[in-house]
Amino acid sequence: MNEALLQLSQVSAGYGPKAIVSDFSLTIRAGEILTLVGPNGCGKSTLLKTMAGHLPPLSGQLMLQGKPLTSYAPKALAKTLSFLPQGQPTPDIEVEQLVSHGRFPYLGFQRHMTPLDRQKTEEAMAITGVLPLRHRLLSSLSGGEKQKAYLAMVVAQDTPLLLLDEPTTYLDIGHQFELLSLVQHLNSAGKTVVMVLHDLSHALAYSHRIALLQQGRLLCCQTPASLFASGAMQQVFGVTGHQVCREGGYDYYFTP
Amino acid sequence: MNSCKPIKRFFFVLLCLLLLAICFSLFTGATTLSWQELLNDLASANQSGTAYRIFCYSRLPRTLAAIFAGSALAVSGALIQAVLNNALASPNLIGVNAGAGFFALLTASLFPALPFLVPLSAFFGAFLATLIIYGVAAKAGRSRITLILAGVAISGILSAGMDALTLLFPDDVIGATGFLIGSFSGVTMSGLFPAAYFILAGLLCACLMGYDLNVLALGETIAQSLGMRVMPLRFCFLALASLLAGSAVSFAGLLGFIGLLVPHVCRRFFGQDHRLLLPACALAGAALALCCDALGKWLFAPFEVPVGILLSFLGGPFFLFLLLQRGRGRLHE
Repeated sequence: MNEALLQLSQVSAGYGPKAIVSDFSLTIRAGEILTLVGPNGCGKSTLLKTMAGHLPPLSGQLMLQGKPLTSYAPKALAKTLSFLPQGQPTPDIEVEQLVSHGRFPYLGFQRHMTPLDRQKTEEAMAITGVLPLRHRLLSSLSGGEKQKAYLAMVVAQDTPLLLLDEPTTYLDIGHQFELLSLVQHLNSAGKTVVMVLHDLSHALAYSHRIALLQQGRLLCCQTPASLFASGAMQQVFGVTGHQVCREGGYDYYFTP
Repeated sequence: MNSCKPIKRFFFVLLCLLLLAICFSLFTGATTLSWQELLNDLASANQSGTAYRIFCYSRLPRTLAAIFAGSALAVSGALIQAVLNNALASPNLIGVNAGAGFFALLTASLFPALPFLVPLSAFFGAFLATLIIYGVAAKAGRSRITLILAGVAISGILSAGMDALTLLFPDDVIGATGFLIGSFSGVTMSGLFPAAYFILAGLLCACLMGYDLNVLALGETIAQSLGMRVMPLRFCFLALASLLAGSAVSFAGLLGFIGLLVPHVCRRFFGQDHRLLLPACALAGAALALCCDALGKWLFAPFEVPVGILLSFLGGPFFLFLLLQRGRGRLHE
């Protein structure tokens, strides 16, 4: 739980000369679920893109498994971290083919799937519960099923670190919980997860640590219970938080 | 649901269509070719026989030209549509037609005495226009939309250039109308062959890179996070597409519609797996070009309708029909 997987030190990031995220330092430990929360436009997605290596940092350094993020070749990086952005396209292909694309970084020059690649594809479909959908066309799936199919692709990529940008957006509440428990399940199978969530009660219920962002800066990064107790979250979002005791922990909800 | 069997059947049907089209094309023409005479000439190696000469110097080059041009343009269109993720995209969008047309006209007006320069300069123009469009897009923000807008702008400039040339040198340009419409009449083996090698190599490359195209179709963010070098690869695909289309244009003229129509039709039957789609497009494009060319020879015989006119007359309404029939296989916008 304490080995540093990804280390950000004094990172500034953004598009063009203007930094959206500035002076950001955070260590992501192996085996945790870390959730980024913050008001709209505070730089959560920018930060996630920077962690994924899609956006070069304006300054500062990112160390992935002890090596600078920029020193990774594209395929080596894709074997270490996977990134699921928001709003995926819906090409006219079958679920199984989509999931198998997760093996792309492992394929040789001939792009030929080995038995290991097939096995990993199969496992990824099994763990995410999309096996019954394997021959369905992506365009025929509901939003929740499609999201699970994309998650399966990322799982097939078989990386220690998963970066998920708002994985529950556009899903109904039932599918949101289904997806989050899937994330929890992947985590218990050894994956480190960094995700952006909008729903504070989900963030509190499903994370080991929460990083609270405000205007491109890290306000604090704490466990859900201590973050809630500190009242910082309530202040940043301008809401009132409520804590409900249940067996084995707490549930949280927020009102204006 | 895609399963293997209907796909195999579709390929079989396409192959049969292509063979029929080849026969249709070889045996239609201004003069009726006697089968027996030809076989006699071939058997006795009589190279001065009329049948032999018609077959070798007119029919065969023309049929081969239709096959190469049709498949090259169709595959080029499929590549561009996939790379730009835009259903509207076709070779003219990346400036192939405008670049080739402008340079062909320019050469025809500046060096009217050197007609063999026209295809070469068309080829060169297609490449140049593609490079400029890609360069502008790379500088301006390198998204797919900037690429498309840059294509529209450069095509606009070059079309204006073509119009200006037609006004300035009306006499020299008359010879180039066949080129502007697109036609296979008068194609010779020597005019066809350098370009045909490029096309063969391009088709082979394209079919081998189908898997990467599938990954690229997931969008640049996902393709990048899967470890793909998106920018160089996209450039490769566009260069390949312009090589194919430019080579075809160099001997067949500015054929429209194949690059737009064939990929749309094929996507309906073969889905979006480019490992299947690209070979299917090559076969279907060749068959369509052959059929239209042969129809053009046959419909108003002894007069010929250039294949470009027929393609647009048949292809246009058919495309509208496809649009009204919103089925599967459409590219998402």
